[in-house]
Amino acid sequence: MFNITLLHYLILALILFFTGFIGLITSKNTIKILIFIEIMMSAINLNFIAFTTFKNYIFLTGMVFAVFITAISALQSAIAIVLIYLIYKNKETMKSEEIEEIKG
Amino acid sequence: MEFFVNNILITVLLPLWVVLTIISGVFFKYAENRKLTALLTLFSTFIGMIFALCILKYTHSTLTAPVETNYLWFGFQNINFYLGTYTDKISSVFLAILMIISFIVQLYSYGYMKNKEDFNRYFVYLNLFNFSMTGLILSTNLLQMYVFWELVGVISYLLVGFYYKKEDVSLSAKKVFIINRIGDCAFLLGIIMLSYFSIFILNISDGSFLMFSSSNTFLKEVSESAYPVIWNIILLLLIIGAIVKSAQFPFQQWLIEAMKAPSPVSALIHSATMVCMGIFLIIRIYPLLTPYILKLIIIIGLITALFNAFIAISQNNIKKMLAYSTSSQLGFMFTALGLGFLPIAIIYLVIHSFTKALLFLNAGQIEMICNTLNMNETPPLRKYNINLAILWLISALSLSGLFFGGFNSKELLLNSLHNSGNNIILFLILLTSFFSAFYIFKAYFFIFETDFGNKNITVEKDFKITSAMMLMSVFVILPGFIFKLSNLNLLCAISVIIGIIAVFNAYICAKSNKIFLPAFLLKLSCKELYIPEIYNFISSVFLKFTKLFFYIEKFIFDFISEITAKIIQKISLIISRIQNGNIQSYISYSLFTTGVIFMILVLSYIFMRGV
Repeated sequence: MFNITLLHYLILALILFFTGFIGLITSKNTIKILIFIEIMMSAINLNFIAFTTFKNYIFLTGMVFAVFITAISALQSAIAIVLIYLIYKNKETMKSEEIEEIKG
Repeated sequence: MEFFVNNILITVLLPLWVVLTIISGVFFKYAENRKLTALLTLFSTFIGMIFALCILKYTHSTLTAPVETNYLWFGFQNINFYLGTYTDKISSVFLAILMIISFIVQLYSYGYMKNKEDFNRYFVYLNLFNFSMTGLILSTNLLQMYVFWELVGVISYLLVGFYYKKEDVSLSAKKVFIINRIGDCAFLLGIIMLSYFSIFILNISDGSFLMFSSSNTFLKEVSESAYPVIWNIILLLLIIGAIVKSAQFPFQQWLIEAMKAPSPVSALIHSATMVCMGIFLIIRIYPLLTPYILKLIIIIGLITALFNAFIAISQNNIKKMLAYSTSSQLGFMFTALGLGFLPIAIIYLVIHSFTKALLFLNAGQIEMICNTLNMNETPPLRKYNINLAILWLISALSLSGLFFGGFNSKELLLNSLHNSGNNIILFLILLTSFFSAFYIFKAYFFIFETDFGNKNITVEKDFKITSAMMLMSVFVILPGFIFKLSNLNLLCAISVIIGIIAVFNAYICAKSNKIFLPAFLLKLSCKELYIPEIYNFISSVFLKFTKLFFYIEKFIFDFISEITAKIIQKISLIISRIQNGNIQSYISYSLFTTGVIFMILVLSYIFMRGV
């Protein structure tokens, strides 16, 4: 067996982040977009936690940040879902291409 | 008394302050308060008049050397250019004429513009004119003079085109401005050549070469002996500026076109003050002039005097006739200047200014009453308005040199011509004065005595207009009793007899309604010596040239600008597609940009390490 180091965590986080990002760009359903944003958030959380565990043992600042980010992302997704619901009520659609009104 | 000389800057700045006040009043709500505007203007001019009269008395009684104040305008290396005030006998005389005539004309204008539009704009222009004229008269050097010279020209243009909504008026204004431009260009070229000549050839490097007060005579001595050709060219250019401004022979057409202006403006600008500035310039640079230039001035003055008086004989439009008369009288002054009779030229100018201003004010009143300026359409006006007839007679007597101020100035001129032995010039001037007596009295008999059956008359008496004209007539009459004549001799008698014959001729001419001249001369006079045709010919040749430039502009410059505009439009159409409203594409742009920046950072880091 090999040791799991910081680098492995970071690579996992990178993969997670880009998965989320690609999903964010490509998906058409707005709910899906929300889910992918959550995935990106968790990648960032993973980064914070990995750095805290491997580099900063005493103060655990990264842990605190992770908790905050989790809380805020929960709030954010709650608001986003309400917004999506309202848009759906008005326009009867959830597709991101059909909600593009501000353009040049 | 010294207070007035030391604070002479007030006369320059007060009209400017009034301009600013009126303009700011336009923005606030008391804009249409005509009384306030007029009173403010009259007040400022009245203070200027008090200053001017006190300075006139002071400079002619106690002051010996000119008072000069200079403020640095700009400079480089050792060469400095100044703005300032220069008070001596000449400038005080001109300032007094300007202020008195300005005050009277503004009083007249208050009545004249009473029921007309754009009252405030008119008074703003009048104040601006006062400002720039005082600046011109008090200027210490040629460059400052040039600046105010241009300003005066611009204001003349604005006032000629005052009723700019009529097309012929705006065209005339343009013509006035363009012909004036020739003189301005010559003047500026003269200044530039003079500066270049002084700095690089004569090595005078303290900027004093443009000043009226210093080193001019030194400049003349050096340059006349060593560089006569360059020196004469410089002077010729400066003199052309003066000739154009004073409406002398080849350029008098602008003065005739300027008659489209309101009558008080003609009285103020185009007869009394601005057109005298050419003479003022010649007096200022008089110590520099060479004999060739003086001869040129004499010849041009004589030609102008004779030809324009000859043209004025057959003109039926009152103001046009007066314009030709002005130009011809200015020719007298040029002749006197060329012969070196400076005091006589100035006395002649003062008296002529008041006389001609009164005539123009009169013409404005005639226009208001008869609704026409054509002499052949007026009623016998004496029966409707006896005041006008008397005022016209006073000024006509003065203009023709029969009585009042005009008599004195003409006798001075004739006597000094006789004493210096210039008998040909004397003869020509007597002939011209015969013509001028003829046309001015012909106008009197036509306007005031003869009935042409016109019944379209609006008789209204305005106190301000009448009092302004009375005031002006005082200044026409008084000089006749102030100046004492040294020798009343046969020459005076001859000139008076010539004048009386001319008046008699004019009476017969008005009775029979035709002028006793050979037919071809009459036609020449009616056609204004074909000078307008010559002007039209020259301008048509120029127009053909400008066609070429028109096509160059149309097919080359327009093409380039259109192509550029089209290319940019295309590019911007492509670029604007980036902003498509889809938030996901925005996110990918931002990722792409971040990636690019990151790549650049990494690559530059590697590159730096590698090197």
